[in-house]
Amino acid sequence: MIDTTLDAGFTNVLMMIREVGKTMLRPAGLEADRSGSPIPEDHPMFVAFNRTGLSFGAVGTGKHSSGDGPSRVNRAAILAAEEMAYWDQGACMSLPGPGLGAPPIRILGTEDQKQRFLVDPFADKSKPAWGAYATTEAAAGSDVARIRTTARKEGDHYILDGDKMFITNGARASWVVVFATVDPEAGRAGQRAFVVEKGTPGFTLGRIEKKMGLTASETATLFFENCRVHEDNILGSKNGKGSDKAGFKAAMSTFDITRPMVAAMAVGIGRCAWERAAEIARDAFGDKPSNPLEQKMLERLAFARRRLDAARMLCWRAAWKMDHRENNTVEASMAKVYAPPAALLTTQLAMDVCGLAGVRNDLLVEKCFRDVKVFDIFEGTGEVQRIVLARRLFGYPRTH
Amino acid sequence: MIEFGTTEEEQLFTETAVRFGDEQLRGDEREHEKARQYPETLHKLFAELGLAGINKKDAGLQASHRIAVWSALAAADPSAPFGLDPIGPGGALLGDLPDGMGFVVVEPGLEVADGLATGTIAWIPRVRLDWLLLIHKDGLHLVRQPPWEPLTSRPCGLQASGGLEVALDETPCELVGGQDMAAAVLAECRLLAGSVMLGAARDAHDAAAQYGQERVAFGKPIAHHQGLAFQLADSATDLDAAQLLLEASQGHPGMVANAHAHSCEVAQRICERAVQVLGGHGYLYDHRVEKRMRDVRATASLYGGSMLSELDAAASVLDFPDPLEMAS
Repeated sequence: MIDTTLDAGFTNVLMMIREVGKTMLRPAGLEADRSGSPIPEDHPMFVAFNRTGLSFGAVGTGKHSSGDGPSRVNRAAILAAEEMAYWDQGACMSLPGPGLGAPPIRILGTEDQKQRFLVDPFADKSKPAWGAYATTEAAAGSDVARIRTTARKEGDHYILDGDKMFITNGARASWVVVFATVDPEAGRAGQRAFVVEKGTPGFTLGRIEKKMGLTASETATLFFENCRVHEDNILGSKNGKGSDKAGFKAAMSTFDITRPMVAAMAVGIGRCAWERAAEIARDAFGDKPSNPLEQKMLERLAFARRRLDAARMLCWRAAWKMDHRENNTVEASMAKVYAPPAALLTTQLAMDVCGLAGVRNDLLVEKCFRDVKVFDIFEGTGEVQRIVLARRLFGYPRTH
Repeated sequence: MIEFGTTEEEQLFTETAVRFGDEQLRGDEREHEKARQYPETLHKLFAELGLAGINKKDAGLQASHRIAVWSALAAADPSAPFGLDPIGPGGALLGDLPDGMGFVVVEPGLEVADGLATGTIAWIPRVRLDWLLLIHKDGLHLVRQPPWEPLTSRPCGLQASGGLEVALDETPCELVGGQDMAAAVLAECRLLAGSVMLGAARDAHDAAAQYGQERVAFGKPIAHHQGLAFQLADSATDLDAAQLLLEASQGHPGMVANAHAHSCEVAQRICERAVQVLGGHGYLYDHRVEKRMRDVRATASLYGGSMLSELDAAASVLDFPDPLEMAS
């Protein structure tokens, strides 16, 4: 049985997000895109968002919402992710909160660390605050085992040295979860996660990246040079000795939650472009094409729509499995490998439908086109997803 | 409310179809193809198990369930849903039809006027024909005892279902349903065809994936070479995506048309890819993938084919419902 209707609970989530999207995300995102810079930290939208009381911190905990039935939180999160991206994913990524830094702290952190990093900095709603997550380096993206940022123990501190790249909200964050290696030869087994707080000596900001899309979101390069981090800020294995496979595995399992969400975001952007193109087609000729070109437009819209609808179903299925506490690694990767190309294709076809006007940034579809490409890159590229699937389905060997 | 589970009843029914396929069809698939028909005992067993006419209103089976049953049968032998169900999904939906074996046809070249139908239907996967349902622009027309002949040539696929050709020459027909009924019947037929193609493609993909893990080249299983591994991963994803799309399309003829067009595209690509994975072996009758490729190609031509589906989808795409929009 497949049921794609939304009950009152899901509809309420959607309505709240829609309001935020319409009144905050879309205007701020467009403003940032046209200015070419991320939404500034002091933008009134952030305080206004905090006042809504909305929080996405519970996403992915798998906890039951009520009674003994399956959780609904992942399905709600999937809907929220698509809807927010529909309005503006760049602005969504800039929203205050612990961001991608939350899952490793939630999974690996002590109660004290959770209080210090997930609760205290965000308590004052009038002062927006951010957290960040830093794994990627210039020479280590998908292949996380290759990271070269080192952590050397000295007394009750660790000394971090290295550079991190593509860090969302990295410049404005109160703290950053930084992955570094205590033993470069040990690959993933040598890696540890540290929470590095803003102002820590040796932690400096590089440049804010200029990107093709998602302009509203700040993407920073961070430098760590002789950066002393107290051992109280290490996540998981405090003494840093030996491997912590359980912790690493737990951290990796967050992908089963986040990948369908990222895929759903791509669907949201694709839907935004599709609806704009459909609106333009409807205004131009209703549903009765009068020439072969108009007929072709409708065929293209149908072509894109079937891919987009299928992508959404893959996302929803992955979330549904997670809510039912079933392993969803395959389903999560399927959603992630399928949705971004489907959404990119949709934005391209939408631009075609709009003709030359589609190239201009005042119709939105070209912004969707620029925004969506990166979804096939971050959170595990399409190629990485195919490796995950091949390992799970056909015994594709691990190389390390 | 965003559900993807299956009920116990649905599981049991699907398992029945899988068992029937494995025990009665799979081993004799080539024999049935050669005979260009199924033995009477199989027809009888198919009916006894309740696998015929499963979309009848009183059967109470949802579209996703029917898709699962038809796909399971097609995985064992894509001809079976066409060759063993005498009335097919169109007939089951309409009910109150003459006894015997019938088929639903969408043939743009047919002329229907003043209760008379004229034109030829070049291929129908049946061993005999007691009635025909013609889907025409003004509705659904029934032709009783249509003049049929066995095919003089051999169809590329679905051979076990038989093969007929029909020449209508001002043959009497009666309007038995309006445009809405015609659209509903066509949607049901497209669901069947989509299910068959995806079931067959999944079987071809499974065969290719298994072969890929056994066949060694350059020191390791060929499925462990990245070029092939990625293709197989894409096939698995595309299959799930197409099946979910087909299941989610129920209730809206335009969306069913869109899902059917997608099934045609995906299933043909995956079957071709499966043959490619097996290399020269894939081209031989020794393996089932070549037959899956032929059967899917033939199925994709039924009920107006993918081109008509694309046009039908395009005609209503601006009105497709979206659950997220409906929530507002």
